[in-house]
Amino acid sequence: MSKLDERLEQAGAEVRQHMQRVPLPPIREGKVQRRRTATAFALGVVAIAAIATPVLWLRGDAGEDQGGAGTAPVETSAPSLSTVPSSTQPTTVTETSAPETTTTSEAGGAWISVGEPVSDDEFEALFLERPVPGTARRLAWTDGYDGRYTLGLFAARMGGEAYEEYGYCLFDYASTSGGGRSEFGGAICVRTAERFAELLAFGVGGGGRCVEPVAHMWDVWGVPESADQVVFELSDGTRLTGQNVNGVAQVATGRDVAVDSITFEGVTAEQLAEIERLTTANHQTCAELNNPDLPG
Amino acid sequence: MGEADGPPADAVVFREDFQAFYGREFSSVAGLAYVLLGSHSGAEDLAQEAFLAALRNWERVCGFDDPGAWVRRVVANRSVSWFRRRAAEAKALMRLGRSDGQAVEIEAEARALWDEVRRLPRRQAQAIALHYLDQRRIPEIGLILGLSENTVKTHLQRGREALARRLDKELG
Repeated sequence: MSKLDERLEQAGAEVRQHMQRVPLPPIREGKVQRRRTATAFALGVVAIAAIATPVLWLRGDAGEDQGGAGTAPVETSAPSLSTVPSSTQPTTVTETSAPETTTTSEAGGAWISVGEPVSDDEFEALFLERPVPGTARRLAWTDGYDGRYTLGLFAARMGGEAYEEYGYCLFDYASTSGGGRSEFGGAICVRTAERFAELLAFGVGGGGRCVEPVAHMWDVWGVPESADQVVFELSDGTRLTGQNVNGVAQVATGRDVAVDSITFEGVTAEQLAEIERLTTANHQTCAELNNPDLPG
Repeated sequence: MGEADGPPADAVVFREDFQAFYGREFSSVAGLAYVLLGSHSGAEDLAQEAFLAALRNWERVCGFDDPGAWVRRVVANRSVSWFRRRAAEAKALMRLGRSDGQAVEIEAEARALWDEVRRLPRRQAQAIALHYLDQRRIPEIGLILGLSENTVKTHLQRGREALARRLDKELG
């Protein structure tokens, strides 16, 4: 290990020396803002182009809250429960479910596809179950590709980026190659349900820009050996354990319901305290990062 | 701008304080961003974003025991979403036939090692970057990442073990 320490220290010194030679840029917003604008424009081009590509677009066909193919849900009306997929029989989503006409709905929402689409059909199915604000129908997690990363299904504000609205987002945290994947983690978001990120009881606070609620569990506890080690207490008193569907650990309520708490079976009191501490810290970080005085 | 339109005297002092902080800390924060992102231009932008955040909140941030820790936390947190943004940017730019044209002059072996670090789970990578690049002690890393010292130790240890395994494998 000392050899490794030595290599790391040398690699650190190399970067430090290099960075010392980088001239101090003037502190201003212009450069970053221009880059964002350019990126937003480029993303717009890509988004339009993506309609004609076999991207896994999600079609708004799951309930009355959706205006039609390719449109986003209106966040104040509940989806039709009759079309919610069974919790044990996930919907199969095909790659042909691309919006036919436009990427913008009357409600102002728009599909945004960023990076590579997540390949897991189950996650696509989960994503169709858009809950109304304040509730969740299904929460899912996995240890991600090759067991190293967390996948999450929840909403987050992708603030300060090319896409700046809140949205239901499906993405993973994988960043570089691993498990045969060399692309960045994919993300698919739709810009509705503004407070969704605050509602999943994962400790995402403020405007929800902090997007790592699930990760706290894994940071402290490690990836659970089985889905049923995670138990969700719902606001109506129901207690649901996780289940594994197509390799994705999840809890499905089958209806819109708030989550009061999450229990981790087998977690020690010390670990639980650490999770709670991290969650609290996450709230604080979120509060700082979501400070309206901070750059969006 | 005429003198009458300028900021009050105390604001001038405040700005100078920030500039000193910025000048002192920028290279190391940009280094951290580079190691976490693997992109030179991205690192500069991310570092600037973090310092802009500090500037906008300087009255509060400068009162912290270690304002540099606050900036590093912003970098660590935003580096995660930055990956997605950069992925999207890269794709967009590729489709538009452009690139950011930034050449990274860091020596290949060091670059390869940091590439491996980035493949670690996020917290492990951040802990290793803060320890070996930023030369931060464990309590400082805990402060920056919002983790307990024991958790930092665990991330460091697991990260080093994983790196050692990969490097052993690489060398046959």
